[in-house]
Amino acid sequence: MNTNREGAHQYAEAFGNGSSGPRRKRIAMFAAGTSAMAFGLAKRGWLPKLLATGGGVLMYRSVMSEEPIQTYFVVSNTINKPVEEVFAFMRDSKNWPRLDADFEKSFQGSAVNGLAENDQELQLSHEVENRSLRWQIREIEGENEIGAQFSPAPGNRGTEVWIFAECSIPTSPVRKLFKMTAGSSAEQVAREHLRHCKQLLEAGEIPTTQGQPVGSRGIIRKAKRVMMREPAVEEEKRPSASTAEPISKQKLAAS
Amino acid sequence: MKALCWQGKKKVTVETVNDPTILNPEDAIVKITLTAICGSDLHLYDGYIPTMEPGDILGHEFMGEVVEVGPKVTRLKRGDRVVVPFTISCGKCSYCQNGLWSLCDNSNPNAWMAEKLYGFSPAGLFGYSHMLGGYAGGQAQYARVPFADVGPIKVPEGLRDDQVLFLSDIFPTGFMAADVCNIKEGHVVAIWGCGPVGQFAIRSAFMLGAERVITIDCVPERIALARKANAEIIRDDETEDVVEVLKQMTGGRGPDACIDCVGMEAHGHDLVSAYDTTKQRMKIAFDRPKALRQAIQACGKGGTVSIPGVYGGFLDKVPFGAAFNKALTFKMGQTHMQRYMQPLLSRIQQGEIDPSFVITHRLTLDDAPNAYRTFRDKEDQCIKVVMDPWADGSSRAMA
Repeated sequence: MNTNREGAHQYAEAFGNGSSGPRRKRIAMFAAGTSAMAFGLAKRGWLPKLLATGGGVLMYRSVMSEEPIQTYFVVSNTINKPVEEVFAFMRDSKNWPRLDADFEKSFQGSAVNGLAENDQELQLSHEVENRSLRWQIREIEGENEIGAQFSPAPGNRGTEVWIFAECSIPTSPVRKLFKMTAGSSAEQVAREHLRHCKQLLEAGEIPTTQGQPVGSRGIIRKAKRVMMREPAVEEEKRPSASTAEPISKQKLAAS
Repeated sequence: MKALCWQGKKKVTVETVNDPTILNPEDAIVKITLTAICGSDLHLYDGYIPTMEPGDILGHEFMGEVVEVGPKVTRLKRGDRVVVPFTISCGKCSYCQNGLWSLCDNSNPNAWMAEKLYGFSPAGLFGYSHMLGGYAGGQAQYARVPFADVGPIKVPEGLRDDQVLFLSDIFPTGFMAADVCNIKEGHVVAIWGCGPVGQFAIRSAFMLGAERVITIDCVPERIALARKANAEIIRDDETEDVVEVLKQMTGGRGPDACIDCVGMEAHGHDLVSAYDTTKQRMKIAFDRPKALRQAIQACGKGGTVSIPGVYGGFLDKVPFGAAFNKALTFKMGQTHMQRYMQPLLSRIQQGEIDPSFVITHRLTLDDAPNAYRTFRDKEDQCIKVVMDPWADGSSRAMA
């Protein structure tokens, strides 16, 4: 499923239910660091200043250091196609790069372009025809697994698909927060890949606006580009034909 | 090409941008011959719709000539004259296949944004925020039309552009608003707002068999246009209690159906309206739902409240207890365009209605920045603006 350069790691960086161990440790580090810093800054002398510096380091490490977090998430969608067709599409790893078309454009080459790299990271470990698929994530120790389950949707509405991931990947709270805000958390990436799968199977294409014309963007907009998943399209300096003059009744040719 | 771009609250500019290109195999490029400003564009203009970005091309009511088609487009060919619906639908998902075209699962590239706010994403729309697709709009000289085999309808010979342009939004929207009310012989329908959608809702309600249509508005030229369609009028600026007046006008029963064609920017002269305005200006509310409150309160028992007016967020002080205890039915949503475009085109062909009646201003694209302001402020008796994007109006618009 996953074709980004970070490969399966993206799926594992979910903000879903994770082990609370690292979180408690980080909170304790942050609290201790804050206390030490506050105490150190409130007192005079080199020892308190040293304590404050140490507190600062602790605070920094509590939010920036990357430690493995066991995460788990499930995303689902209904695809208006028979179970056999959906299962066959998702089982065939040659289809995976097609799901990442948008991301490939968005991150300008950061996405994985071929099957080979996927094969290095994901290995089909278990399958029950038209029921479930499981892939093992290579190069990561412990319980690291991505799976898909399939079931006919009621009311002849196609196939219900669930994608689940359970793995332990190093990440920091700041990085996790940024990805959540930008809509590129592991869960969201999985959700988007599943949506793209649905779009390809149902509509035959993944809808896009990348490459369409736009007017001049402001500075803030440029900063938001990553969040909106737009590529840095060429933006020429364009003349504005805007006018602030009111339209007179003579100019308005009423029908 | 020239295009009208949103640049922030109350600021739109005509800019020269790149021409659109085919991005997906089911795309078509349409050379736009006529486009219009919709009342819902004013919500963008006033900055009340989230996820707009500077440079976004506006416009979702347009028509034109097909100049290029993608390799998988089979129904359209170069030279076809088409009206393009404002909603984009794939035609293959379960929603499209069940006629719920505006709920298409596959046409919004930014569905994840809408899911954050609404739980699920509706179909993508032209020129109506990134949350609803981020598609470039049709107030431009060209537009890319995704899923071109599904949306646009071909215009037969003998019909003018201005007769069919409004099949792109406001005519089907007004018609669906009335259609979902399940109007029967003898029914009384009350319609809030006599803007373009309201005008079509009035005429559609009569077409569908309503005995009486009562409209609520305060803008003289709009009221005059509603009167021409035999609607009865309540001037809300001169009426202390619209709900009570409606009750009296309907023998104490209340209207059988109430249609809110106003949406999120309702005006009012009372304390609650001032409260709504304050909240909206403070950005702690998207909507001023005064018309909706009145519609719910006024609707007769067992009646239907139909809401074609656009709402964006969380509504405050909506009398849901009244709705519950009167067993009202609510109908709302973006228009299922493909359900209505062809039947309404037939009505136009048969001379049952000429939608161009609603046009008050014919301008060029260069006039658009001022036209938005004129339309929003209801100056110059403005009800509906259409624009020819190829007419050279820069010398007229530039002072």
